[in-house]
Amino acid sequence: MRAAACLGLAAALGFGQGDPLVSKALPHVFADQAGFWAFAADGLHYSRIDPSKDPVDIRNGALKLHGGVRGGVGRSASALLFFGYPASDSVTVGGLAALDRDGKFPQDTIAFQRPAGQNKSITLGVEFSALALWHDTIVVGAGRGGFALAKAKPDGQGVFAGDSLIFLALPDGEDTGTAALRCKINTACKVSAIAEVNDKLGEPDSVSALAVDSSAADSVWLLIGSQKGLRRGLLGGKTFLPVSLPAAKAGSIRIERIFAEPSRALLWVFSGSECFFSGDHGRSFHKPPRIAGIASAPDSLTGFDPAPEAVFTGDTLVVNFNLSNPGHPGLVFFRRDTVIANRGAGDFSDILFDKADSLDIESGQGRLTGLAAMAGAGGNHLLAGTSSKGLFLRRPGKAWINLNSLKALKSGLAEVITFPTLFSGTAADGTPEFVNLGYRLKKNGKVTITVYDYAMEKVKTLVKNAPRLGGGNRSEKSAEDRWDGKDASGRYVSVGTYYILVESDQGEKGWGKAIAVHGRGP
Amino acid sequence: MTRRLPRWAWALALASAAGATSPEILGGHEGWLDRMGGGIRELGMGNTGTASEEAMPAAFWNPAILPFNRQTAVGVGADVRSLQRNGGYAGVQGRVAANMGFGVGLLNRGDWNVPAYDADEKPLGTARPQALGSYLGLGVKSSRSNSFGAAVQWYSYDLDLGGGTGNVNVIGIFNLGWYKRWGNDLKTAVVVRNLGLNADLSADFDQTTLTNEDAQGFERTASDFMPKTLVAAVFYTSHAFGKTLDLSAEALDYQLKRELYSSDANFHTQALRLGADWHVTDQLNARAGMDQGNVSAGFGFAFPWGRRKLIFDYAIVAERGFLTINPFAVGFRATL
Repeated sequence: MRAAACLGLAAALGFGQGDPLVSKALPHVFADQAGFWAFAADGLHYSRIDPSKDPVDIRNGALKLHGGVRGGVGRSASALLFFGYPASDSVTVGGLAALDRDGKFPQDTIAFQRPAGQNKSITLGVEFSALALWHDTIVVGAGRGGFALAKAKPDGQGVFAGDSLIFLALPDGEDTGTAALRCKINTACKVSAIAEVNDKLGEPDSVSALAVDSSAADSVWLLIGSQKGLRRGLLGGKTFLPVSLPAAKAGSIRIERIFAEPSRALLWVFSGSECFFSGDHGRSFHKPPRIAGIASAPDSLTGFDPAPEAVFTGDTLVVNFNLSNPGHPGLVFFRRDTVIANRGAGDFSDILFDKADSLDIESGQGRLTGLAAMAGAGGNHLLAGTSSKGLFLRRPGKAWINLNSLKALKSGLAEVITFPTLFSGTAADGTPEFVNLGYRLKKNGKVTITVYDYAMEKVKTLVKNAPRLGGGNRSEKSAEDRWDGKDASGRYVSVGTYYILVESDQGEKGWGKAIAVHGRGP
Repeated sequence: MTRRLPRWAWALALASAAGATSPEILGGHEGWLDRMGGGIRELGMGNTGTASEEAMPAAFWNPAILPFNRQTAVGVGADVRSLQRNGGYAGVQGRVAANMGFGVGLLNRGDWNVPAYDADEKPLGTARPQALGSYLGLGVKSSRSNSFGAAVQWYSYDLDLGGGTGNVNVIGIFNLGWYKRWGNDLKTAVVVRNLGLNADLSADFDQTTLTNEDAQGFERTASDFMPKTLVAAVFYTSHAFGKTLDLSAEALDYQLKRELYSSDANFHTQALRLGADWHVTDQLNARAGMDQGNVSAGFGFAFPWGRRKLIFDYAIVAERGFLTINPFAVGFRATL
């Protein structure tokens, strides 16, 4: 099977030489429970980021397939990705696949295969276009193919519990979905059936956005954005009624994104030029009111990308409108149903995305291309992808840091760095400080890390024969591979330069240095 | 059948447990500049110089040997070690009266390449921390074979990063020495190092580190002390293969607690230094030694210079069981 072979996602590890991430242009960003995924513009090279580790753990990889990732969602033990294939591919249109959390092992896949005789045509409009999750239910959108529901395997190891997906197409002008396509898992799915649907029902709506609203007490609603508007129906049902939107222009409106915030019963719908919110599970939508003093409320924004990204942080929805105007991040903040700020204006220091908060994308003519949030201790970790300056990470209560500015370490322990190198015992916020280590093993091995003082007197052994993976650009277990600035008896060391030896049982050896300024104390 | 412990035994056990401390280790304590010694000849002999009349700089090793310098002597040396560690010494010493000697010594250790990053891995530049110990010594003979001496030392440390300094100047630390000739072949010495001017005679100091905003922008003041050190040394001259062989040994006790004297063994650690200097010819000496786990070797070569002496010294040292090997220690000594 050509398609299946194309989706044979043997993830090969390959690392950038001058940068800890695979690229500085990372438009596809999303999160699962184990970390963030950030895909480069080619959709093949990715960086896997675990923000819960200190230092941030970054592992890079590349997918071996003909197409590229165009979107995805994270699940607990796998990531669900959808692919687009280049027009030059005469066989496959798009695919849906799952990777495990390390990005190493392909699991379930589906690929849409072109019907014979229409090798160069993708006008059938069948390509994976949207994903949504609700507990173990996956909702897959496939252009004019419609959408399908699937259940994940209970053990979390597989994406689909069944062996096939039945796509319901949405005939134009009708409220009822019609079975149009049956695709078997791990098998190429011929899309010629869509042509038959077209002949029979007229051109169906093309699904472009999906969201599940589970905030209602007695029902779970599926919202479907399409080329022609918004539909709403019960999850698992077949009836999807059009929802009226207070759009500026009458007629069809293409829906690009739908965001559901279940804990606050809020839905946001974004079209190419407008946005709407609902507080009654999608029964009715309203335009957000403008606030005096905010120069650019969403309804006056022009030129924004038709694919805004958004994350919830606390009770604030942060939307990246991806303005084409360089130098304008295009971020707009909504708190519940109100626009509260954009471009970092206003008194919202906890969520500012501007230079003062180290998210400096303006000077590089860059713009935000993606946002993702991941729950962590103390709040959400936010990850912002940009068009030219890489990834920015914001940990709870911390400033943004540009992950691309992190040092790409030489392999084989040829370089061991410490950060902070100047150890003062406590961080600026008063919390105990550690000297973190950055090193990169060439091979898997057992690592011993020992601290010596200037006179090469042994101070402390941090870890002994601890197994560590090779290949990553950071210490694999950063919470262990760090020094608290104390000697073996548990007391702070004196002021001075300290030498940290990292040795692997594979013969790799490297030294890092740290300078203690704390002193032993009285 | 078991007998219950009496209450007083339990109380004693609990009191002991409450007072128990984990043993201190020398690593990480201040005084590393002092512990690493000075002088390339002495480095080749396992850092033994306390009971040697040739020791340079004597103001550092033992001020009591200063009056035994018949001529004015000068010395300089560089000790470049692995991991970009630099070091060196300079000294001038001589007799200033019939029974009095005076000397000045400088010891330097540092690192010229510490790549520095902040907590977010943002590069801060390269730190080049340097420590400098300065010693001013005076020795007085109480008889032809007996002398006492005292040295005062300054200590300073410069972080050299981001326009900042880790600074301080530690003034007022004393070393006291005694030296005794027991004949032509046997000499002994005792030195107490790192004494301070306070009730505990503890060499306390505060060190403030300041860096500008480019280098984390912090100010920290560290309170610390130099471990009080007792050195007992012996220098014995013998013969091997018809040539003079000088043997030296030093036993050191470091008190790792800030008090006049601690009887708790947990706060003491000991070290042993051994050295040998074989006079192969009138011009050439071969040396070897061991300072704890540091094994060293070296040689000295005396260039003809009339009645004066100009000696080239070389040493190689392997630290802590060959953890590092350091072949770049050279120096010159001259008598004027």
